[in-house]
Amino acid sequence: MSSFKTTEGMAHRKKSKRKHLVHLFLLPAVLLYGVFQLYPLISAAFNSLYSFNGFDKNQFIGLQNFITLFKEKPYNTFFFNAFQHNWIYFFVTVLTQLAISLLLALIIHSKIKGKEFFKSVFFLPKLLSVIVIGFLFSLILNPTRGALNSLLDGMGLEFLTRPWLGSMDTALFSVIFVDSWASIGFSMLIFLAGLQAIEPEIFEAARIDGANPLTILTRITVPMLGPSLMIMTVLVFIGSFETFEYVFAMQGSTGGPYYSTDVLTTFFYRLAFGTVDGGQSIGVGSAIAVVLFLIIGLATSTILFVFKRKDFER
Amino acid sequence: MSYKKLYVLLFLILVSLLFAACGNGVDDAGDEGIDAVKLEMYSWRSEDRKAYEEIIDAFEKENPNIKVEFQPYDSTEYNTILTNSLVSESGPDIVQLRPYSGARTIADNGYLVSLNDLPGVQDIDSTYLDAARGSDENVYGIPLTLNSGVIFYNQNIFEELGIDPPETWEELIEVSEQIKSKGITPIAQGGRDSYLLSIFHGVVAPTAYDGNEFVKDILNGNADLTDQRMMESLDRLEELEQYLPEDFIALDDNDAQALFYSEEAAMYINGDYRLETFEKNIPDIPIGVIPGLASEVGDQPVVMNWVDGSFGVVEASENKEEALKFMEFMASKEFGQIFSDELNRVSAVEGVNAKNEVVQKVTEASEANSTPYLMLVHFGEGSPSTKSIFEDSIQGMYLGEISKEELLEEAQENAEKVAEEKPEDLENKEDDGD
Amino acid sequence: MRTRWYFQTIKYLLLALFTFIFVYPIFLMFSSSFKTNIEIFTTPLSLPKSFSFENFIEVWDVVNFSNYIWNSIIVSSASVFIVLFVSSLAGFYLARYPFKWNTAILLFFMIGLMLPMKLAVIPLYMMMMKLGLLDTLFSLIFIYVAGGIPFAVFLFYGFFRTVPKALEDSARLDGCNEFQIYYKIVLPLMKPAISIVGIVNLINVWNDFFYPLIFIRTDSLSTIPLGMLTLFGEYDTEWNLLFAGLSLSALPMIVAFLFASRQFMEGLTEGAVK
Repeated sequence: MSSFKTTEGMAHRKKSKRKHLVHLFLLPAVLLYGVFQLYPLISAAFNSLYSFNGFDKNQFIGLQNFITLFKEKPYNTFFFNAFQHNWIYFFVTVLTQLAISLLLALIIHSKIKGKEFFKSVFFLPKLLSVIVIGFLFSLILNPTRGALNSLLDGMGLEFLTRPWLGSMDTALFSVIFVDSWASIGFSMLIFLAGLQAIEPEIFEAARIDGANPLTILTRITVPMLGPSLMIMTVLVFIGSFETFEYVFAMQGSTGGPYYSTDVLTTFFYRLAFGTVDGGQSIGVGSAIAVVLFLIIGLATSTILFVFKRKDFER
Repeated sequence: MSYKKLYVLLFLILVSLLFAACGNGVDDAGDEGIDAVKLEMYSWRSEDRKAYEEIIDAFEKENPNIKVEFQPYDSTEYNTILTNSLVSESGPDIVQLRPYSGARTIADNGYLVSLNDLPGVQDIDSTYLDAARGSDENVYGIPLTLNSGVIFYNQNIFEELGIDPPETWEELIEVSEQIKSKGITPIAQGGRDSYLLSIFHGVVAPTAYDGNEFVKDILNGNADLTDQRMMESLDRLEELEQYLPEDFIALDDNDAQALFYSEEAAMYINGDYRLETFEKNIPDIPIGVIPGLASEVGDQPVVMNWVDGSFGVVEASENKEEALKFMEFMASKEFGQIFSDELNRVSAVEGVNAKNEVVQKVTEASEANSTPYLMLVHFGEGSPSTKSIFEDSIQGMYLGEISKEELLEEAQENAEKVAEEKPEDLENKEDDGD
Repeated sequence: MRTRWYFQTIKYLLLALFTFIFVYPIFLMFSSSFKTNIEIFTTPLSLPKSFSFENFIEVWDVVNFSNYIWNSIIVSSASVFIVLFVSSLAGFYLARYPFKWNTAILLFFMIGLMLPMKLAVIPLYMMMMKLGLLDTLFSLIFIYVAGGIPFAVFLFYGFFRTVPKALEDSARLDGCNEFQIYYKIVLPLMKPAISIVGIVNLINVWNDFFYPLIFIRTDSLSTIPLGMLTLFGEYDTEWNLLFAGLSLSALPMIVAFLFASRQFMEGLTEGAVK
């Protein structure tokens, strides 16, 4: 009897030991992510409270870097100018990327031949590196030798030719267009997935009730796509505020011409790493990072919160 | 058959020679051949790679136990890469330093070895060395060359139209008008990379702002950037706009060069280092150089010049001794001559004469009457630097975003801010010393 | 059922228009890479006069392309594999074991999903320096893995919740340990999730240029996008070489896509449905 008891005890202990082993499932992910992402993010936030000398931390200066960023020329002009561009980036991307990809998803989801072909074609740009796309389009959009202006010339549309990347009016929009060109395929797939999740019976019923296509679109399709729309809006928002590579590859780190494509990340980059003839200023750069954290964190958690609530209600 | 035999024979001779060479100095040559110290050298002049490799060959011949690896980076990325590698202390042994404030910042952070006592340094003119000094007045880099901002012109076009190269500002406008009336773009200029606009300003402005007088006033504090003389130099930029390519703010330097290559444009303004590019790309077009504008016809032109980058030794390098040897070589006449010949440049080393006639002409003019590249030499500091505010604002001026008055005010404001920050930095440094 | 013909026509016209918009720039890149520099400037839109691979050979010679490709392959495959392995384990844990701290851990991962990691690049840089990982492929792998984990964990977590528990319980009764359950029972059901995480990460890592720009200095350790930067710095007037370089760097992904586009697409759509 006693022997039975001990074996049971041993088995129990063995089992609980095994239970502890289960935590090993979580550990690598938490460690890797914690050390190489979360920790740097937090310490970037702390850096904003210090003054720097090159890469060396100098002294604690409280919120001075933020005051410099918001109050002192030329930092504040740069900041608000870039901040405004990020918002423009967001709103225009919603139109160019989300609206077009939704349209394409709807068309492909409808009765159409060659679905797979079109899906693949629209997704194609996503396979290229941003730097490749950036360089490619700076060649295509070149005012004198670029393909776009030659194309417009050839079609008799000379009045449309312009220095796309070199004029204050078109530069930012051109960059956004290139970004959308590359990203439409991905968001289209998300919308398609959302559309496929809607049960066909709902459309059948509506059609039988005599609803016209427009009513079906606004009353059924779009509301049913809610989750995908929400996800894509969040992604576009984050993307618009962290956008860096397209601007950098096509317009350089100053967001030329005359800062017309400058965004918060390019401004951050200039301060963090310096330019050809300008020193670095890591403290103020980190302050930008914190401001960006706050903007993105607030906006996405608000959107996600609304989304989560809806999710649970169902 | 017999050829084959010959080859075999040759091969055998070669092999035996190799072995003999090894046998002679068994330990010395053999070991050093294997253990050669490898120096890594960073630069932003990727276009000069071939020339540097030849220079390095010459050095390696004299110093068989040292191998130098030339590693160029894209100019716009160079500062990031350099800062990164200096901080990590695992990078290069020899680095190219941006002139003036660029070198000073790096030297002040203690990343560089002082070169005061390096043989040959005393043979370099001290104005050159000024571009590579730290705040402690020590020399930290070996400057290679002087750059002059010049106006290049296509001799074919000038001859065809029967016009002479302009000597003064008034003549430049006249000539441009004539060229324009023939349907040719007078000046190929790109404005997309704003630093080009600074050079552009630097070349046409000195006779408008009274050259060195104004520079002196600025340094004494008797004048600032909002001075009327500065304003007059901006008037010139405005006046020139009609003679630049359409939408030139959208053109980068390559586009501008392309216009010049295709003979669609008659003149091109940039540093004299472009001469080498032209000889390589358009050897058939005779290119003339106007070293600068003069106040009156017949006067000496005022040449705007500045010292180009220098090379320094990294404090953290494990092969300082060998790196210093290479520095010594860079300060030598032999190096100066190869450099000047290979790249068609003026050498910083005294007593080296350029072979190229055009280079000689620029050198002579520059020795006779020169003025510093105001923005780079005296306004290159700060984050952002006044120079970058100035040139970006010129872009803004051409795009109709800001007025000339605003431009100068902004630049002056920034210059004052930079000046204010400076003493503070020094204090911090002293604190660090404790 | 009536499908109005003009409606269909408009749809096909739109599809054709967008096909043109998406394909033409890529087509232009490939076709220009066969041209000479002069051809590109004089007739930018026409087809190349002859198909010679000279530009490609020259680019291959002047830049270390084979090295770049190799580095890109090492970094991408290692990062993707580690992300998949580590995140699926974590997702499994969070979905299956009801510990009280799970919500907190999900929130912990959520932070990384929301905040732009690029802005943490300076502390990251100093950390890599202290660890002696600067200028090594390891630095990139660690960063990509850490960056890929949050998204992957959430996705796997969502997926694991949809898998019925009954299977696992019976396996447990058969004496499988927890790892075996994960490995033998759950993981095989996860193919859609694995493929979406794998594809998204592969595309991101393969194409990233920001981190190599900052962390890699040695040319022989460059990945393809970083190598492109060197090419653009050195040959900025020779557009034929630039186009050839761009084509070369785009080619591996496009070829992979042509062979497996169906899997790509299905993986992504199924994954997105959850």
